[in-house]
Amino acid sequence: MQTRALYGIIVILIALLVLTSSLALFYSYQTQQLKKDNGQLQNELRNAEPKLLSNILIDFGNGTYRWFNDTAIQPGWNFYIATLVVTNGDVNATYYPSIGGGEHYIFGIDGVVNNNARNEYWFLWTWNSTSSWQVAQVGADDLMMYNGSVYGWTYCAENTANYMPECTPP
Amino acid sequence: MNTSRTISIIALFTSLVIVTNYALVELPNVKLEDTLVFASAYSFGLKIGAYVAIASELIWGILSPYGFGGIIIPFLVAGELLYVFAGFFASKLWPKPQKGFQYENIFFGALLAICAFLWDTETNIATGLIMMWPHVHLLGLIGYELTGAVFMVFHEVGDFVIGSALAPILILYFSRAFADLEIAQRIAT
Repeated sequence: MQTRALYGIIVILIALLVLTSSLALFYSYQTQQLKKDNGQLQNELRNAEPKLLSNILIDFGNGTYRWFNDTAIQPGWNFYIATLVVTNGDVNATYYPSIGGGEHYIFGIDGVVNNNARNEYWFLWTWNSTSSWQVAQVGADDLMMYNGSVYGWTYCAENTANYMPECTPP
Repeated sequence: MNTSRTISIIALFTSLVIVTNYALVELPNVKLEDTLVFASAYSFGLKIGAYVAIASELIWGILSPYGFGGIIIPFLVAGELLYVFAGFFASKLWPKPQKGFQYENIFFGALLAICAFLWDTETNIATGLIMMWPHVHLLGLIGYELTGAVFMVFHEVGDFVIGSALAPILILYFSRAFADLEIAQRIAT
């Protein structure tokens, strides 16, 4: 009787082993399939990704300015990210998480930093075909990039009476 | 056991297999066939079990709603014979169940689950061989095994549950029915 029960237990254990092995095989197959599908979807997404181009101006205020025309941008970028990209990260900024959804105060681009003593600062501009250049009403974090967007930075003195820049982009 | 009775038993089990296979066709790889073949081999021996397995798989391979099985049929028959050996082996190892529900019944279910694993492994490899022939390679065969894994799980769980619940009842029923028949025949003669 005991031998029979022992054989029964052995058979049950082998059955459990077989069942768990099958489940492992099943999950292994599912994982492989999902990885494969994921790779395919990523490729499709890459191929389908629209090419967004934008123009960015940086005017250093000393007669030197640079246009970054047809800069490739990604959906969801704001002007702060785009500025970081075109300057290879050469941006001085202080982050204020409590302002809005978090804002960067930019005080230096490409080594040119704000000069409080001379009242010279970086100003942010937006451009459109009807009203040309306008001082931006929001910070760089809130200016979303889109295909054909034109934004600019100028470095110049600030009018102490109305806090407006005393320059316009070239 | 005389020839007419042997043929009757084989026909009875085979028809039960075909009917229940049709009834459960919506549930992939869940079938009473394996339990019936197992029970026939347990109750009536290797020879009758083998006939039931061969007849069932031949008929099902030709007439199933999935269409004609073709070259896979011999592999299905070979796979089904595993249940015959399992049933015969179980009859030598474990005594006939005394009641429909007892904890030893899961021994039958476990044995059927092992057979289901072997059956699926064998038929998946066979499918791979048929599909890839003559350019057979190991990775391809593993691919066929992996693809069939989901059906493997259904088959094993199905065989375990049905085998544990139904095989002892079938064995009990047929042993009693045929014991009564033997007694009646002895009285008549």
